[in-house]
Amino acid sequence: MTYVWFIPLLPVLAFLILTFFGKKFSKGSAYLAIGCIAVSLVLSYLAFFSTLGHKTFHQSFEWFSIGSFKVAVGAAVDPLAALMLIIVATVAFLVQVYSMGYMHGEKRYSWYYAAISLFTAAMFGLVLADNFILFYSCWELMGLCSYLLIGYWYEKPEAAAAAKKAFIVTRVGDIGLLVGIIMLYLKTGSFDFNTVFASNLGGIATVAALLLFFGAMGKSAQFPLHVWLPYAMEGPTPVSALIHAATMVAAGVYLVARAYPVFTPTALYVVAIIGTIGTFGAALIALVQTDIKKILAYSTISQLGYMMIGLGVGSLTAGIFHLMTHAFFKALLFLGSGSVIHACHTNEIFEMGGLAKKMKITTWTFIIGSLSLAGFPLTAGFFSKDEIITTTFKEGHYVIFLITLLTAFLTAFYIFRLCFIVFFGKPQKKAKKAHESPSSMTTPLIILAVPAIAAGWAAFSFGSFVYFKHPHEAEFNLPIMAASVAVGLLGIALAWKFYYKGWISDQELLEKMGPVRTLLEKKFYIDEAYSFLAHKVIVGGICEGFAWIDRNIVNRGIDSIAWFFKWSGDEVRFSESGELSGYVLVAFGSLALILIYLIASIL
Amino acid sequence: MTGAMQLNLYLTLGLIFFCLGIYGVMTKRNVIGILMSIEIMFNAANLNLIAFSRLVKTNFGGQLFALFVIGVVAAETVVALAIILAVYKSKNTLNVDKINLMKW
Amino acid sequence: MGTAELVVFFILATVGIFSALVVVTGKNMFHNVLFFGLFLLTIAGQFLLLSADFLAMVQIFGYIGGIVVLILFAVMLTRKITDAEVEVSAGKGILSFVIALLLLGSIFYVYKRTLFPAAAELPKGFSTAAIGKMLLSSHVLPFEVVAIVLLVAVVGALAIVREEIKE
Repeated sequence: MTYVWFIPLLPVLAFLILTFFGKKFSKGSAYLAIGCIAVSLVLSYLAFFSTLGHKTFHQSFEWFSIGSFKVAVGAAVDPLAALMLIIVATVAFLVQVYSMGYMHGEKRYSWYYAAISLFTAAMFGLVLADNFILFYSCWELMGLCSYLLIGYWYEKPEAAAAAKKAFIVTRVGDIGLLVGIIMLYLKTGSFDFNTVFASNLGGIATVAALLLFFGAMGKSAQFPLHVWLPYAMEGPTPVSALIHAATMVAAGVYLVARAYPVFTPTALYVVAIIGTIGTFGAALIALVQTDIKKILAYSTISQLGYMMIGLGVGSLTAGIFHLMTHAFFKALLFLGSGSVIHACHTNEIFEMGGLAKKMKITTWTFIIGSLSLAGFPLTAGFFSKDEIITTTFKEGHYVIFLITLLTAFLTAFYIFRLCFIVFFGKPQKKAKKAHESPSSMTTPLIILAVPAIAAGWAAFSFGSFVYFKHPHEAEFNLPIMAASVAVGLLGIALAWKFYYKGWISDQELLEKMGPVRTLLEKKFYIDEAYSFLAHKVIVGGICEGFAWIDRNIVNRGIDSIAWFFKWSGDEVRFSESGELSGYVLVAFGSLALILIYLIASIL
Repeated sequence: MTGAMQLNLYLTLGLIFFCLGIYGVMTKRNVIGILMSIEIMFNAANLNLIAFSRLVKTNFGGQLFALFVIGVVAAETVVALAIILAVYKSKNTLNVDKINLMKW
Repeated sequence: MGTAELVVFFILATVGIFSALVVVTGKNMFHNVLFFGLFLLTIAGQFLLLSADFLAMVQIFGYIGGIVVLILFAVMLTRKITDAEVEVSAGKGILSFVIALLLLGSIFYVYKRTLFPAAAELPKGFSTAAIGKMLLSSHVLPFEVVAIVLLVAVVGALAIVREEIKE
């Protein structure tokens, strides 16, 4: 399986060519990038099928060494990695095809494809990495690409600010990750995954695990480092689909999965708690959002929370399974929203409406994605979400269990709220001129709809494919399944009642919610809290404090040294004053002193 | 009166003159005054020389030395006065504090 | 030293010290110069007491007759109508006094502690002849050098003063 090395290398090649020669290609750049990713796609499936046949692959070269400090570059393919490969490759490929239509006519077209290729390469590298240094490098590279792509339309100040915010917030997480990696290195003397995971980590395991998780929190937008994701929607929609639905945000989940041996029960519990907070809070916020992409963004945060819960309650299988299904249906939803935005030239759901008649393919694929997200029976989302909910119950985390059910309800509600408002009802101003998108955009939608439904059927064998320590039997706990289905259907029904039937309009509902509405609309004031923290505390307090120290203490210190020299110079100048009497005084005075000194010895 | 006591007397006198001369050099503002103070110092030295010549080593060496001292002093005084006059012509003052080309 | 010599010594010493004091502290230049001459005279007297007759004469002719006159000329040439002589600052004055006193004290102390060897008998005859002989035989080199120094000094003084006159 040596060919796996080409999987990340081909997109890198595309990136390099497009960066330097992109201007010459213009339209052709898409074909180059898509060509490369297509090859990577094929190779990924090849690798996947090899792994199904119980083959794994590991090859590593020494990159450089400083004394006894060695850094290696290695590729390791195991079931988890192979699965990630096909997820990433599939979504990336479809997104790039979609982008041909969506980004049509944009300036810097080739740069877009260059950046997306680099990003894809980084994600592949991350998945294939077999040691922490390589992993961290790819991690950072992804962060950079995210910054570049969110800020694609950098002429817009909001986009530039959003890109900065994304980078900075994830950077905060990355610090934790780096410290965690270093801790593990200090304890085990190696960066290699196999070595680290096999060694006995003793007491530092929890701390190291939590530090690694801190990095995952940043990249996977867990509370409280989730604030960047809604703003990242300033980027082009295909970017949102790829990076912020399927891949980069999944990297955090992948990290926790990969480093699972390091996670002690305590650490896992923390993971689950954070996941719970994130999933519930984000779902609440999604209820009052009016920007279609923001709804999906909060939905992503919420679903990532689900994945973390899955991992946190002890089921690697459940978490990764949901990662896979989510990648497909979320990408579908984002690309669908992109189609809608492209047609209506707005992001606001209340400016759309009645698109079902005009954009058939978009509508129905979107609805399929929504059903999957809501966990409608037999969709992919149903199986994966169910697995997580079941596991929480099985492992005895009843509070988390209840919250996951509640969130499932909210999820169904908000996504169908979106559906009914956007696709049904009376077309609002912007929607009147809408028409279906070109096939370069609708084809990926159709393709994605398939795994959005079908991927769930892998539930039966998934557990024996991706697991931790021992294969996971597919569990079907009927009462719980019934409960989650009921909750989902309730959400859909309620949304139908409210928005389709027009029982209560969105406005009235919001008014009824009263103060809660403000809380949600302000996203729990978290952004304000961060702003306060950053400006008042960090800049005002700490930075000002240090500036004060620098100005007064350090500067005064240096000044006083300089002043001392000036002063002594002033005093010494007396000896060169040109005043005769001064000279003489000094001369005779010195003479007297010398004499006294000499005489004193014979005194 | 013993030779030693006599010597002491002369030496002390010379010392007194010498220190008076030093005081004058440090104190006087008038350049010619300073010159005169220096002359006093020279004379004090001469006195010492002669005293030693007479009371310690009696071979006229001290007197000869004193003679040369007077000669050299004469030369030096001439040059000094010439300089003083030249400076006076340009600065129009004999105040040693004011004859100062330096800035501060 | 006989009593008469002692008395003369003390008289000369007193006058000398007094004159030196006036020279050093006085404000009027003329008076200073005159007292300076007096001081030189007392020194000449001391020389005589010490049997240095030739030198006493040299002192009187050369020092008083030459240098005092020279200084007098200089004073007269540089006289200003408003001869305001700025007194030294109090600090400097005291400092100078202290330094002078310190020097006095320390060297005096050295004198006290030193044992000078006593002299033999008095030298014979007037010193003039002896000095003259020495000047032209054993100490002819310093003699000539001093002569040249005097020459150079005179030429130099003329050179300095001449440039002024040229203007």
